[in-house]
Amino acid sequence: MAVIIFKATEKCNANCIYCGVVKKANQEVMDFELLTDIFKKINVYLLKFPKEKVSFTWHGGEVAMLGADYFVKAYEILQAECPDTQKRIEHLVQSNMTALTQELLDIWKKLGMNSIGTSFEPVDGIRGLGKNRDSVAYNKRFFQGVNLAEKNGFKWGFIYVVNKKSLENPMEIFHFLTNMNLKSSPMMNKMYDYGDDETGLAINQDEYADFLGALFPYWWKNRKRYASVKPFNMFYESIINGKIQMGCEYMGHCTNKWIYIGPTGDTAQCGRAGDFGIMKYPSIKEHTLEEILFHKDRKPIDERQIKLAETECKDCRFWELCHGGCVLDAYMSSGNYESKSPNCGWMQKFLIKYFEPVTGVKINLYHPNSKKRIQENKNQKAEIKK
Amino acid sequence: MNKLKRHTLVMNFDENLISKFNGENILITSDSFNLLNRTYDVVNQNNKLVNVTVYTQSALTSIKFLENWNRIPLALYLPSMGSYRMFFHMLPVLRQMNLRIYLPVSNNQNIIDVQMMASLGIFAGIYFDKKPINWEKVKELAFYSQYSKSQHAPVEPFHHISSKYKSDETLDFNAVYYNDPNQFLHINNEGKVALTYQLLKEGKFALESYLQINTLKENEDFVNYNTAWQRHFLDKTTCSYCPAWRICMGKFESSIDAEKSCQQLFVEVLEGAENHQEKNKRKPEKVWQL
Repeated sequence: MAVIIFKATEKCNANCIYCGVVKKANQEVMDFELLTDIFKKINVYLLKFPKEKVSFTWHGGEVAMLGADYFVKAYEILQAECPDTQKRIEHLVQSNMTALTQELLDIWKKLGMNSIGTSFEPVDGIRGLGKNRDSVAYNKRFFQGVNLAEKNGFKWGFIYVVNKKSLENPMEIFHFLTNMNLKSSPMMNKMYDYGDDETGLAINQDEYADFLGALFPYWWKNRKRYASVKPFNMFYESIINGKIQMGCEYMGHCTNKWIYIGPTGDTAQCGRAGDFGIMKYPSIKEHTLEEILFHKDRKPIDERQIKLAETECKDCRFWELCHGGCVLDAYMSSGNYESKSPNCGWMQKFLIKYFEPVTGVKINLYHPNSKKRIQENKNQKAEIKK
Repeated sequence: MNKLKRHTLVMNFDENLISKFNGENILITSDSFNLLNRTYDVVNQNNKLVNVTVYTQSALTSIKFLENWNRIPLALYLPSMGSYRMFFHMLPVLRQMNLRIYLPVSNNQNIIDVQMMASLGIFAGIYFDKKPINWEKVKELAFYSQYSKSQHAPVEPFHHISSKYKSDETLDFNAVYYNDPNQFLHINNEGKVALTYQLLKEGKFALESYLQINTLKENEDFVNYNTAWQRHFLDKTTCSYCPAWRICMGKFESSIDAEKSCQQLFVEVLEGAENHQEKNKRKPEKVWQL
């Protein structure tokens, strides 16, 4: 499945302290001519690969800023340009929920969406609306959005960005977040620091590991109650149940699957690459989707896997949980694609210091030869092309 | 009138009002025992009587139970049980009744008596009467309700929490006391609809007529009631951080003490509910000798 992180706009009504998109201050909105061209190219791609599917994530900025009319027009274009392939395009949406309208939800439903990915922060002053980052207004509108979405049968799940303030009382944060939405538990991601943290809120590898470690014994004891809290359930499924279910950063197979498309047709490896303006590929305007997904500049990502398994990550017993981590993080921290991700730090610490002692499980997920995985990826690509 | 599939309609015994309903679940509230049999017959003519709930200031042992009440599902809200001597004297009659007894939690003796009645097979419960609570005593009762291996009748609200708990839904145990407008609606003698018993007493009605019940989903008061929990997360109240939020939903916000005693109780109750559900999932143990 090709995963398109699609940003028709990067405008946002919010001003979250850790957001890379807000810093870009890009006010562009994709025109319908380009949108038509993109759907045409998706159609060509799907017609060429009849077994392939496309996951199309409407992302931002804040997608609701596009307004319902934009989506109505997008739906019409989709009908016109992808008459035989639209069933193989799965539309997903990320929204901060603060600007939802009935009209938006109506057209999202028409596009086949039934859930919304979002984010929330209990501590004031981190997420908020407008220049003053008004958290009170943000949270109020967030819950209004939740109510409207639920009334329309939408589910919602959310990400929590662990930051310096979260470290003050991890259990309180955990309970607050898990109480908010019993249908879907939070994904607790690390706030990133690429050396330019002006906020003082970014956390280091040890701090993130210790944050998770403070929660893990409680989670483990009550794992049926909090079954879907991430990243714990990803480790649980992968290590205890033997089904490797880590996030995209750790699966080592994003090479030819992911693409970011921005408001002017610029492309990059994934959403975060697009946000930070790195790992860029040519514009979708001049190239087909296939050309960008299989662009030669992606090759080092595959090669990285082989090199890491033979060098830095050699003999690592957590290899299958991480595969050297996200290439983007590696590039951001070291300036090259070939090193392992710095996230190795938190993961190893968490697993060794907390996961193993609490569960009593000794992890041994060393992949003796990462070339096997590369071969699997190649086989997968060959399968798509069949 | 559209058939109300979900709601139980709570009202006083008023034959004229009851005659307007057909095929509904009706719960009658009263402050006397005078018309119990008549109530049973009238309601069951065209509707289904859920129970008759009597709110009285008499102790249990001062009530004279008539033998022909045994066909009537009866819930009693009483200040106390009364003397043990009288209670044991009445026990054979009580056991023949279709009866639930609720006592206010603020009196420690009531907590003991609820447990004692349950141990003798009488369905009993406590209700929270907005007075100081001895949380340790309540915890003992909850523990008895959820873990005791000796046979006993259900103890509310712990029985409700144990049997209805789902890990992916909040649970409002106010339903035990008919105060959940998703299950119960309170109707006054003019046919006006209130969302809870308290709102009925205050004369605050969500609907001007029971004929509008099918519009409830869109009703502002009803929507506000169902989203009122969000205030805790906007104001970041102590309850929003409570591990037992999902089964309590901030009911004791105004009486939280320094030890967070209510939290301690409901965390135990939550674990008891999970334990109960887990036990029910297991297949019964086979006795190999048989």
